[in-house]
Amino acid sequence: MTDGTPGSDPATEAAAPVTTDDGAATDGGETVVSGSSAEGEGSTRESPAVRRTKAFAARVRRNRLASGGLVIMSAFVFVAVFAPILAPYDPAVVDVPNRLQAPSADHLMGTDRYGRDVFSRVLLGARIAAQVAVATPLVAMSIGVPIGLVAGYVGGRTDDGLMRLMDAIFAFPTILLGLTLVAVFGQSLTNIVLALGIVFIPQFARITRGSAVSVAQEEHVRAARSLGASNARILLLHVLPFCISAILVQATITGALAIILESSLSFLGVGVPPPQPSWGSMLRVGKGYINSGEWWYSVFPGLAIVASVLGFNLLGDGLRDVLDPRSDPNR
Amino acid sequence: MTDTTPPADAPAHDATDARTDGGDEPLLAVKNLTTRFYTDQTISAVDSVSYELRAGETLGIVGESGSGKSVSVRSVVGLVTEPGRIDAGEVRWKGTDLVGASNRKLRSVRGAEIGMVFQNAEAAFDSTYTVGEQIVEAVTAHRDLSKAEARQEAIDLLEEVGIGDPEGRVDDYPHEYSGGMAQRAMIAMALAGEPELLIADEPTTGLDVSIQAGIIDLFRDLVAEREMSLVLISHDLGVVSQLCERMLVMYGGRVAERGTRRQLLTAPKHPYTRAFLNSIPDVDAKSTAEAIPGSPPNLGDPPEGCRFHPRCAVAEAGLCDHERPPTVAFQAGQEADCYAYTEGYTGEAEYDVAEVTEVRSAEGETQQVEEVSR
Amino acid sequence: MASRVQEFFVRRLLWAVPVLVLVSVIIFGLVRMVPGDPAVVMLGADADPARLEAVRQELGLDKSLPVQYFDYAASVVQGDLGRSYITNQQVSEAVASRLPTTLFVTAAGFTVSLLVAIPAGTLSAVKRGTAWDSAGLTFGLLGVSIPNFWLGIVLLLLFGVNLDWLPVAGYVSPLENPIEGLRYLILPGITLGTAMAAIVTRMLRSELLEELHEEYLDAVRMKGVSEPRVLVHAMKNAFIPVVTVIGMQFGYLLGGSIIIEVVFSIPGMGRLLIGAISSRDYITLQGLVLVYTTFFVLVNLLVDTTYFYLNPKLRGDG
Repeated sequence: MTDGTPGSDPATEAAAPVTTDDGAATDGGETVVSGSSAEGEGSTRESPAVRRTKAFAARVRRNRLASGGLVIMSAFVFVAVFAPILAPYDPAVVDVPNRLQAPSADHLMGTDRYGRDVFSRVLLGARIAAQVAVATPLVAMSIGVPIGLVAGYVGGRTDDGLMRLMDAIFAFPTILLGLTLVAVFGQSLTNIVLALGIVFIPQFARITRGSAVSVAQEEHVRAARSLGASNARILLLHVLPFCISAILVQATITGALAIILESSLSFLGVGVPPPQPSWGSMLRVGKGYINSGEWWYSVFPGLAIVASVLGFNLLGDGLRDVLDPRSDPNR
Repeated sequence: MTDTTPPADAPAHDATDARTDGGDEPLLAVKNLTTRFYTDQTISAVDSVSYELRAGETLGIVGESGSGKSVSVRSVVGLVTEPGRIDAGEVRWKGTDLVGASNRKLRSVRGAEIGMVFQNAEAAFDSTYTVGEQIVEAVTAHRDLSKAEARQEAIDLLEEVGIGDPEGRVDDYPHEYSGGMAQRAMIAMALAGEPELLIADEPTTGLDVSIQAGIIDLFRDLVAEREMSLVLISHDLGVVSQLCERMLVMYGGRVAERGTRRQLLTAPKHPYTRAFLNSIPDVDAKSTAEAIPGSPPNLGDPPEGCRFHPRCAVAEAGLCDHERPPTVAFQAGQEADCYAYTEGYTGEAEYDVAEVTEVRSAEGETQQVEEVSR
Repeated sequence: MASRVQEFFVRRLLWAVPVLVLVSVIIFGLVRMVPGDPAVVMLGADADPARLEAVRQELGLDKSLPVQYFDYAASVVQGDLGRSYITNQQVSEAVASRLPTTLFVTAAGFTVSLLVAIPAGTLSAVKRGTAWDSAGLTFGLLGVSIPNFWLGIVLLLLFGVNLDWLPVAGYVSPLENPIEGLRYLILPGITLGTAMAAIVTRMLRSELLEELHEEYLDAVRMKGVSEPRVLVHAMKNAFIPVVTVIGMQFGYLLGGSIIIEVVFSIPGMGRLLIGAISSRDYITLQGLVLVYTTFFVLVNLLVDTTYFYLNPKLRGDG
């Protein structure tokens, strides 16, 4: 797991708006050159925040990795949402005479041991993966970010205590922690998301804590405090903007890892319980058939995992390029 | 070829005539060296620069940062890599052109024949090895010595450069040395291969004034004792003038003026050199009081014609901003690339053209001059 | 100098202890959180009430939670991880018998990943922009996008079933039979090590790329040494931050070994763990998790100390 480092302030990044020439991509992952602005007139009408966002969006679009990742992810979300409609067969319908058929025109990915269409089940599996991929970072963020902010801002023993707790969570190998938590909580999609969310809290906490610590020292913050500005306000307005880029990148990493983790748990039999088609559990069954030649059972669900995780990773890499070119020089 | 070897008792580097025909070939001859950097812009860092160095001479290269002085010497030893490229010219070291030379040739020259001292001593050392190990690496690169011998050699070198308790310090890491000491250690490392030429790129920049004096003395002693030639680069005229008999003033990637120390300090010809000297209230003082108006040229999009004309007090529109200025040769080897000494100049400067002997255009046309009439 | 390293190690050790304590509390708490009466869970709802009561007493369930924890902690420190009610075996014995196996699997993954990552990362950086680099970058991206268990399955399909070069399941201890043992470790090693290899490759590449721009390398070149020698300088420096990443990845290796053991049917701690989960053997689970985590913390401690040792600037005066 890569530890997300606080990215540079997106404000300074986007403060040099870039000329919008299209198709200047060379090799993969081009870093954006901040040249002179050719921003049109009328930009005085837009608020700085809007302009920043637009410039940022333009850079993301231009970055090969990020846009590739976005395309894949959109496809992934699309499939997840419309799976029941897209699926040629009802994934639950059993058709025993046709069991274990190799891929064909009828069944693009073959059939499983009950005769169910694997392709349809793979499509349905995207739903679980998508839910996990989106919900897990949200859970981790919603707990981790506040913890980090408070720890860094308040400092002292609170900081010590909170960070020790984070270290303790971090001391568990991720799969192990996921396994244990699910074993304790019980198997259900909600519990899994919760468990995985907990696993990834420390990363977010560390990111925000670093920024909180440095911002807390700054003069204008101390001044604001003495004037009675509420801490929450300070945290939100001053500290958070610093970390947003790093948080975003971490979120994509977490999403990717969550998919892998969930499928691992399902593969081990400790994941999403049976009726629901999870790619991991499909592979669990599929593995039993590798000796007898039904390779499609174990290949296709895996490919689906790879594809969706790839999307997240591409996006994450691309975002990292755009937000903090320094993190991977001369890509 | 006439053979006028200087009398044996004259110090090798005390030439009143900067262009002595020593008879022997120059040790280092840079001709029309052009180095560019190809990034999103094309940067002409060194634009057709030529100079020569004879054995035993001390040459100083002066200029602001960005003038191309560093890049030109790096080009000499082949340290220019992507996105930089030597586009034209030759660098003749003892007769052999180093431009485009094989890696093996370059490696045989570096360290053993040409040594280099860098600006920031701590940055020039690998922080994960001890100073001793790194000097030994320099020693054994060219000389066949046992480990013990090499180590002793390193200790001796440290002593030679004036580091106290060399046995104690040889096993220290670079970050444990103070700034001045680290600089001395780097000099020791550069000497390890027993080079004939030492190139020092801003060796005193960033050091305390008092330490600077020590380093300057060290260079002087080393050059004398080891009979080395020296090329010293600095933006600090004071340092250069203490050590170098001949000097080159660079601006915007080109040579603006060249001559002996005395010529340049007492009778500078080029407007830039004059302005440069005027920006220093006293040659020995270190503060820059009056900066030259304007800012150094953007080498990615340099001024047309003379690089200095936008900041030059006596530039003539239509002349100085059009074509590259010719090289005007004066007496006793002093040269300046400036239009103000040519016929056809109708600008504000009223320079004394009595000493002009020859005008060489950028293309190479030479015009002997008896008199330049205005 | 050695003393400073020792100092650092001790300081970090002292820091690690509270973390381990917290970890054990968490594990303890988690297990206690399992809904229902542990005795019932273990013996079944229709067991003899007297037996249930006896089990509860033995488990110490009648005492207060903190006391239970301290009892537990005390015995752990003495090496007693409890006795499983499902298998009726001392947990520490079960762990000890399987620990070497898991260590071998983990070591296999570690070795494979470094064997791949160091050349790949270096090549990628040195030959930046060429096909080698693209290959390295692609590997870096794909390696972290492929779930290890699926990779294992695919490899098994290819090499084990179709080509039949390598064994499909099982394990032979390299201690008993080095060659056979290695054969059994190849696929698991590759499977486990790929993700880590990808991450280390990326990191090494980026660190090396930055390093290659550093000024001191020019100074090294000016000594007249060969280009490979220059590269060694750069690599030594670039590798230092990579060491920390390797340490973090070890946690991944430990966790991943659990799945790998299942995929390849290797009788290590991981399989024991999965078995414990499905049979609700919480005592064994508790002990195993503690062992895994302790290992991870200790390895991190070692890695941090190594990093401190390798970086002369941190070491201070020699």
